Amino acid sequence: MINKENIKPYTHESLNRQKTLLKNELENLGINISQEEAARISFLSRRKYERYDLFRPGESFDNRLITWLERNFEKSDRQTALEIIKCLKFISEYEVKELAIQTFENAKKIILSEMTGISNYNCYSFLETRNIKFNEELNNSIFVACVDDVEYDFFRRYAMGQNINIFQKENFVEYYKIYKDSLNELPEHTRIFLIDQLSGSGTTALRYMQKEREWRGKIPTFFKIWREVINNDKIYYCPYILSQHSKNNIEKRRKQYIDEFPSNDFDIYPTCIFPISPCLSNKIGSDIDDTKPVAKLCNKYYDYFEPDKHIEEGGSAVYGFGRAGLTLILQSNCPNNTIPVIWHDYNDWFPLFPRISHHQEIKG
Amino acid sequence: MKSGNIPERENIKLEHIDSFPPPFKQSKYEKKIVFSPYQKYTLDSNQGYIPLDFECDQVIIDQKKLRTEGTSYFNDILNIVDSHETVLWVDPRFVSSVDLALIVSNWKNNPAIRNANLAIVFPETNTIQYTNSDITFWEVNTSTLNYSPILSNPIWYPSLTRETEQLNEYLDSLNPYDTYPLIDFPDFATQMGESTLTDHVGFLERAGARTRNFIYFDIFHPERAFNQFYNILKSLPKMNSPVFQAVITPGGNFLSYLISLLAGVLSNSSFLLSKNEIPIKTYLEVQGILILRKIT
Repeated sequence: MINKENIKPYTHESLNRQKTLLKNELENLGINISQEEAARISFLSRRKYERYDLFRPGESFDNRLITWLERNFEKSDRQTALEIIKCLKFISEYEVKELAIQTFENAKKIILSEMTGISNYNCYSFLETRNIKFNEELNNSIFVACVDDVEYDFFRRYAMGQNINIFQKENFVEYYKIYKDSLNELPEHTRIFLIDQLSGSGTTALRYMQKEREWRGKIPTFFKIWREVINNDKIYYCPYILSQHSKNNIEKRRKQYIDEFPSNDFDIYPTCIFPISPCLSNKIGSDIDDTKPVAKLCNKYYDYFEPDKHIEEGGSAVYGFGRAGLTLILQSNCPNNTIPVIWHDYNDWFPLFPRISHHQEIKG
Repeated sequence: MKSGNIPERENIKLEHIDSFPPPFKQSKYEKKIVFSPYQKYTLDSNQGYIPLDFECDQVIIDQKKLRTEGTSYFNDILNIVDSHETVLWVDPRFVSSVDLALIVSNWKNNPAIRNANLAIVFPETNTIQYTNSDITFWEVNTSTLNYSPILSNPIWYPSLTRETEQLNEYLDSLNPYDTYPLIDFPDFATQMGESTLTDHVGFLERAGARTRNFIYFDIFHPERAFNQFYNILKSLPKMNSPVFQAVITPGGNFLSYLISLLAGVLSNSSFLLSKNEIPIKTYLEVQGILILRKIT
């Protein structure tokens, strides 16, 4: 049967139709949803979720949502599953770029706050001496990427464009695992900023392996590789996104790590701190509340999930890797700190936002 | 031929100092502006306004005369000794946006002031007092207040912290060519459910605001937020008569409000908000300073 309404796409009528269709489909699945709530989901679906890099052209979020709810969850659990959708945070490419800019601006703020010896004679001399000294200190800073998905080219272009005649290309190192010869080509430096995308549990950044009795992660690896060129440099770990859970873990582990390696001191300056998702957290946001409906849902369907050895390093992943409890999606990929009911595809589980893992086992 | 898309070389710089009192000594030429009646009234009646706590000459500026007499009144009352580098201090607490805009415009356009920096203190607050009556278009042009700016092809920059009903009303009265919503980013970056956007679904769809039009306000870095927004506004093509005219409805936390106001005034943009809106009506401790400088 042909639809005779003749509604053109991307008009007010077509947006209304889309919203109404979504509401009807959800109600057919046994989910109560208001017109307003359907409008919200439909809006974010069109504006953000459908830009997810791992969706195929023509795939719609609304269709994936319906399939996710219908195929994965019993009818009585679907209303609870929808609560997860209401707590999603999708970081678009525009927002990642904004985070990159703000990370660089944070680095400038750090330098400004540490500067001394600025004239206080009057306003003019204060500002002039501050700016001159600041440019010198900025020139002696190195920015090092810890991972390959931090929009590092954008970061570098922004920094160089805003600070003409201050930086050379060597102030920006695209990956921290670098050959010794390249380390010798670095310009003079007094500060090193380690740029990371996301630290969801702190495990990848810094962890102690009990069995091997050694510290592992990006930060210890950085110090091992860069030891010879770090003289009296100040080191700053600057993730774009740090979860509250990771912050607690890294701060605790940092003390133990520096006690063992006093010359490997570093500070942590995240650009933003992500709380545990409200559908999972306790009242004060300090931990996951296992009695919450979404938490029970995650546990109920965890049997479908198959943690690999990398996931297992963070313990049980029922609330995401390292018990981070996130409902966070990045346009480029879904982090494994996000609850797995959203992204995994083991045992015929349909992923809402499919994920590509960095760690893959090569099967013979 | 100048292209309208390339901003002019910047001649106004904003510097941010993240502390108060000022980390430098005051010279004898500096002046503190006190607005009458708002600040003077609350000062006289001891109703909570505490003036800036450092030694400096004080100048009382009458709000009515500033609005009607403009530059001549400003020059007479301030009597700036322009041969010396100096600072004019402005405290925006209890001051209306219109009066703040007039001070900034007078400072910018007054040829007798070349060496005076304009220092605006800002308090720590996340709460703006919006006024939902007397909504009007206004602009401050060459230091005079104009309530009927010519709005050819208005490009609208509304803050999404305002109520959606209000924004819809403004949308109907303005009928903009395009809309660029302003969003305070650090809060939005970690907002589960993204209510900053979803609270305004109807408005954003009626306005046809594209996702790539969203302007993220980086309130943790005021210099960058100002440079970004100021250059956006200056890049609108301007020939003999403006092809597009920027119209701003500021909001957000006080720093983003102040930065969008400053960028708007300095780029000769119009505003759509109440002429009597006083963003901060309570005494709050000052936490920092924004300093505007003319760079030659």
